[in-house]
Amino acid sequence: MSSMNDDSWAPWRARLAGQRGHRYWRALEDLAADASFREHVASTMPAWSQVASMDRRGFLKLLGASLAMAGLTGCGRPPEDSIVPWLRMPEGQPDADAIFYATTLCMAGEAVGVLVQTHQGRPTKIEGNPQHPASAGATGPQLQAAILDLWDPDRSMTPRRLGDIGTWDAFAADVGQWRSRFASHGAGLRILSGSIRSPTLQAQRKAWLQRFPGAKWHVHEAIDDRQALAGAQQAFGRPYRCRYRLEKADVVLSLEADLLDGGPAHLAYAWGFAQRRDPERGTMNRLYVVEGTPSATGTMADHRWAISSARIGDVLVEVAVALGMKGLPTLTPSGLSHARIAALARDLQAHRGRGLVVVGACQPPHVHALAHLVNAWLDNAGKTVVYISIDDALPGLAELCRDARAGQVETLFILQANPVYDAPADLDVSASFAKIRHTVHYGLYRDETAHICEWHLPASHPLECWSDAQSCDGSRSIAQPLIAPLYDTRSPHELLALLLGDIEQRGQAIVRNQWKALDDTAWIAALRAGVLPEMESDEPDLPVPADEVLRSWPLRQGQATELVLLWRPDPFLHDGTYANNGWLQECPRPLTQLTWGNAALVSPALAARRGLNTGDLVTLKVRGRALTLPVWVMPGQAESDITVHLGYGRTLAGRVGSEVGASAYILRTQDALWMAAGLELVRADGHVDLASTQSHDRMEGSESVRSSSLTALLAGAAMESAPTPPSLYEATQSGDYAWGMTIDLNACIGCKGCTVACQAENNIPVVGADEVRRGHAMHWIRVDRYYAGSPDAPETVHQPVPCMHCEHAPCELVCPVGATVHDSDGLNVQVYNRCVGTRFCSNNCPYKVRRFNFLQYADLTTESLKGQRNPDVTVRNRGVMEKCTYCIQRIEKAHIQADRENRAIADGEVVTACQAACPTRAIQFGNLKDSGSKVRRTRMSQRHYTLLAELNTRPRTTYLARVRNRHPDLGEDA
Amino acid sequence: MTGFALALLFTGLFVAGIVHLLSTGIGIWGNNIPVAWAFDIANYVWWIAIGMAGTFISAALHLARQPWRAPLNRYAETMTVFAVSISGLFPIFHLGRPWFFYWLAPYPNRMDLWPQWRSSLLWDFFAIVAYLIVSLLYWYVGLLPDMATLRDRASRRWQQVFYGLLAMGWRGEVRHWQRHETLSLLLAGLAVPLVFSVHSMVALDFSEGLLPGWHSALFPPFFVAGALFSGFAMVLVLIIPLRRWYRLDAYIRLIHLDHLAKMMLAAGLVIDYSYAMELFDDWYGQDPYAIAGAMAKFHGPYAWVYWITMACNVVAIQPLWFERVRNTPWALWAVGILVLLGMWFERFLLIVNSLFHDFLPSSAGLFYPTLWDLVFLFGSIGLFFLLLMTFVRVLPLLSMVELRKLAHRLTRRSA
Amino acid sequence: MSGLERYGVMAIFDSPESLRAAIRAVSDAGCRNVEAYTPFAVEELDESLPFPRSRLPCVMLIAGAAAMLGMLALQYYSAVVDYPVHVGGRPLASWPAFLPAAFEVGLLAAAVAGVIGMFVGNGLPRLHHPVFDVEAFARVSQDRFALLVRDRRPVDEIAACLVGCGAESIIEVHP
Repeated sequence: MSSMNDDSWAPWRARLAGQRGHRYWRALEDLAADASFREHVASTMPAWSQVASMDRRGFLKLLGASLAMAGLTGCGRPPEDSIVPWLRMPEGQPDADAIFYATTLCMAGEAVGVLVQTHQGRPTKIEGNPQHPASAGATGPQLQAAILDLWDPDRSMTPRRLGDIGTWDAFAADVGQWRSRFASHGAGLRILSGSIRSPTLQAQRKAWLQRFPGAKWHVHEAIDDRQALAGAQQAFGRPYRCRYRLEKADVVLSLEADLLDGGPAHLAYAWGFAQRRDPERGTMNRLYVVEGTPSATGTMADHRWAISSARIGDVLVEVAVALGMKGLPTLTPSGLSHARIAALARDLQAHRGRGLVVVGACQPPHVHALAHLVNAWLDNAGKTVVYISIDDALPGLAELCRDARAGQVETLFILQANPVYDAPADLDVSASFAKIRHTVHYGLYRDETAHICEWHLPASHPLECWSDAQSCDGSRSIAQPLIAPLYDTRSPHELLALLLGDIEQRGQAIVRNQWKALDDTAWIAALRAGVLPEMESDEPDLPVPADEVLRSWPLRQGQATELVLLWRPDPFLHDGTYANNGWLQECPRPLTQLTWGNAALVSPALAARRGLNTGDLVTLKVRGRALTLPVWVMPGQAESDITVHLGYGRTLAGRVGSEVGASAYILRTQDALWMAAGLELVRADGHVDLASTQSHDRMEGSESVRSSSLTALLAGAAMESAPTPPSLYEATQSGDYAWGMTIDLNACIGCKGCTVACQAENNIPVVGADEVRRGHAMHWIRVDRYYAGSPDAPETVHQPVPCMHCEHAPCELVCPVGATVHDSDGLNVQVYNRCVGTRFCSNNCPYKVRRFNFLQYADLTTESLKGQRNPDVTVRNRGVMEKCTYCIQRIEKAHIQADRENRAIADGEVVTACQAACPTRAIQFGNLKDSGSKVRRTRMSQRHYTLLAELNTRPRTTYLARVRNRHPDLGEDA
Repeated sequence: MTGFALALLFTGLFVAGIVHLLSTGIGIWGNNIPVAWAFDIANYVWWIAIGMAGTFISAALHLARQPWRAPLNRYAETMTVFAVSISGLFPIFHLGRPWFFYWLAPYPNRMDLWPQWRSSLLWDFFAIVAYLIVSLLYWYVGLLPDMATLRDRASRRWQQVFYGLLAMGWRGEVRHWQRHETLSLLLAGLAVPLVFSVHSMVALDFSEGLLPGWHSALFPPFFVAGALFSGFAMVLVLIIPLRRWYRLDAYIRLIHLDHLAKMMLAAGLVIDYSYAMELFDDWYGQDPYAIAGAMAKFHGPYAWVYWITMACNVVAIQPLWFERVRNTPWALWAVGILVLLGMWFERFLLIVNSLFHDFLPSSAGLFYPTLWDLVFLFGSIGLFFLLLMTFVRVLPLLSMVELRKLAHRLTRRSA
Repeated sequence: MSGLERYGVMAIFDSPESLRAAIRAVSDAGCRNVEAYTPFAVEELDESLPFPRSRLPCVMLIAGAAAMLGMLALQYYSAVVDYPVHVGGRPLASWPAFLPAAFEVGLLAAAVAGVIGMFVGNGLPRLHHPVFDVEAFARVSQDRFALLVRDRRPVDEIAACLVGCGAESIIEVHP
């Protein structure tokens, strides 16, 4: 292999230079065809000569690129290790049917138990694991999209040394040399990894450090809760991680904490929150949110107050003062009216032990510390918030770079981290890493970091390898592979074993060994359930906060008027890890409805003052660093705050994610990770047409979204404006079932989990930024976002809109070929192969839920992507109309199952993809003819209403109105 | 000659556009969701409307025994045939899968499937087919005796064969003439209700929908009037240069232009009335969506289209009240052009203004035409002129038989 | 020559009036089998050459009505009997919606039947006919009027009464 990097290869390397993704492969094929190349290969690497003489397929196969390997051998073959299906599998299914396996996925800093659906050994869809506390059955966009990463054609498929194809053996050989050189001390030997969630990896880390005492293991996450931990450190003297019990909290004050849709445990929190939002069942909680930039949590708040992120701490101080706490610093008013502070304090006071104060991870430590004091003062600690003690933090990237520049690092292994892209700009990672003799990158993609490293090693996808994980709440679960590695990849555990000189051991053995405490039955049970029974239930300790933070309370830097720059993780791409996922890139961001790119969120007031419109280019200057990107005028943004989202501007993400948006890391520095004062905003010339899916944000007098106050609701106000108008025609619907859906706007947090779940389930294509701009997006269920009230402090509501399955469907009437008709269960079905594409149905759909294949959007060429497709759903071609089918394939499965056992389909037996994904159970689906069904009950609700009822389309999809639980004392000042 | 070359060029563009469309999909146009129809259907309605005047002149005026129409009808019918043929292309090419357009026809097939009879698109499909075939027959039946004349006059062999075949051995027996007369009278009798129904169907393509601005009982008469309006405009726009180039002033005299202008004015006034009624309905119905749509006409993103339409279809025709204008060819020609422009924009507005913002604010979205949209519009115009010019070269622009009859009648009257 | 290998005797006139006079003359002379050719439909000839009323109208009426009813029947059969599907909550037999297609098809059928009827009735297409052999007949499609007498009498006899009416020329037409 080493012969592959002598100069004789230069000409061919030159020909490959700058070739990426698809074109890259083609270029390789050309090379393979090139006679001179062949004889060169023959001369330099006899072993490889037959490779080059192979035909395209053979060549690609050896590169592990084509599905000839990935699909046919990979898909067909279950992993050699015995893996165990999910506990609740219906027995005796034919092989053709889907089988579910329970496993664990680590996404965006949290380990979530999931159920993965496989068809003939191909993982095709991810669902939440109801038994796993971090999921409680729900998933959300990122988990839904994880399946696409598995099949991503841009995944790294083979080891590489200096860019040339290498082998694991060659790497093992190198490692051998290094190990012998490091003998025992191991000074200069370093590992950089992402945060470690796997107990096995934890153990391997300890073993590795024992083997090499002089070595160091660094951890780097671009997005973490280190400030929260520092806050705990201040308050308790040692790091604790907070765990909130939203289902127990009557009054919640969130200070920039995006509990519901950001941060690791958000799925669990969202469910806990939703349980307290149904006024007809149990008392409703009250949520106060004070934040600088709008968040999903903010949109769900009963009171949302926009205050510059820099002054959130002051608000907390004022609240604490109002609560009667002593020894607090005196500050200039935060800008929040006295009435509000007072009401808030009264509310918290009145619900001692049932209230909760939460501070967002982006806030500085001292705010967190004060929050701990307040929660203790209010006696919430141990009730609505519990503290989980954690180990001290490992050395970070900063130390590593320092040592590297000091020449103390000789060999570095980078495990599933991408510091070259996502490290703070002032660390200048590439420069410092350049000083390291041997650098090894191990990851799913050949990303930015991989390209500056000597070695790149391809990682197995989590769905391809054995592992285990511990979630934020402490619950532990095993991860089992769903499919043998598609390419020549290793799991992190196997890699660590290799580093420790153990080349033989395979993933399963390593993980099993970690859990040898479990006997085989317990082990099998754990695999089936997808979560381990809690070993020893240790009482969560109740640390007592010290209040010296109050004495060392930092005075706010900067004047009130100066601009503040906020960094936020992208709701979908997180820190950029998932940038090459087309589903996530194209999924409209919950609050902006933006796809394929980021923007600087600017408050309407500021935009007006500076004469800026959405799409205008601006340059953000902070501490001598500058970044130019388009403006997005964001209602509800604090006037002085400007928000940019991380995760964009990747340069080597792959054919999907590269060169999308602008990288906000360019402005980020170690001392200002989340907030930087003294921002300069300069208008740059130029305008960008941002690819947003919704142009009209206001209800414009239409009653598409209805909302009410809790008091009005209790007074008996009904939401349905008018009874269904009479019809000339008698009902024709004859079947045993009448499928219907209700969507609870009081629960929907707008996370878009349903949209991506639908995309995964129904083979919905990705169309790309330009087509989105041209109004050709294909999502079957969209989540509309409306604002009411003033742009500075708007009320925001989310409204998922799937097909309404109207009983008097206007689309059916106008189709000349009967391509959309009604079935006996009242479904409005679309017959793809009958559709000629007149598009009259879409014109005549008052809800505009139909999507048209204006061009050939479904990717029929990329082999690996075919592995993900749901075999139960047609892949639509150009020229046909498509739309939500209520997941008819799932209904039919249930039908068949029920018929087999000759019984009726039970309530809850059919779960649509959107319903399954929803973290807050906002979507109910079932049989309207069954008086006992959940969906029928929701239809009885006082909050129930029909969208555009006046058109007499008689939709089967209906809504439950939004309810806000305002503080009675805050009338106009809400 | 240059005109011919130009027409040929645009036809070439049209063909290129069709090839690109078939190979790529209608995504090459600006159509989107919510505006799933735009130029494609606007062009269709515009062309088929132009056809109306031809049938009206040759059939309705024939029934009404208006002898003065004699010099006009051949050319008017021809215009109809070409316009209708071209308009028929658009419903086919606007489909997502044009190669399956025949699925609208009821024919025995393996899947045992039938069309969906309740759709106005289906009604329209039958209407277009019937209209096209009937106007072709009517045109040819009228052409038959002239073919005989050309055959007998022909000096070159190929002409004799060519016209001979087309004439089908017509020899002017009195008995034949009687049948011929009866038939053309009956065909005229059929063509009139047909053409009215056709344009009503076109109207139903929209008013069967529930969209604000489409769902209106006013549409069928509105569309019929609109069709006459643009039809007469096209007749004028074409005949004025033709009578100049081919020195037909003797046959097509100012009186004809005057009549045509009067009828264009009349149709125009009906249209203007319809505009007023549309607004009145919106106001009287008090449907918030309809009112929003009406407001959008005045100052929505497509308001400029509305105002152009008003300028062309309301203001520009008013001079026709004056005889001096009606007897000034170039003025009539200018008005005709404006009307044609106005009618195209009217159709465009009618489609897009209702679609871009219907019921839910969230689904609002604008339409931006692409280059290919323009190619299809101007390409079809090119094709139309190409056909017309070829026709003028090989077939009699005026109906000789009709003129003979007219002359005979006049001599007898003078005698 | 004998009348057997003669198709008829043709006279060419320059005006419909003289043609009309000639027709009267020959019919007075007792010739029955006469045929007139004109470049356009001359109403005046209708009474002088009486023919049975054309059946064209009722052919067209029947064809049209049949097609219209047939179309309605087809729609009913396909939508109600053969392949019933629920569409937009409308009844299977949506009569009002069935009318437009039936109407259009009816008109179409009537028109087609009429045209076919005209050709069949006129014995067209017939690309060759004895009269085409006559040189002067070429102008009958333009500005001349011809009368063909098919009668066994000798030519001179017929010619005599034709000349009287101002025939430009008199030709024997051979089959």
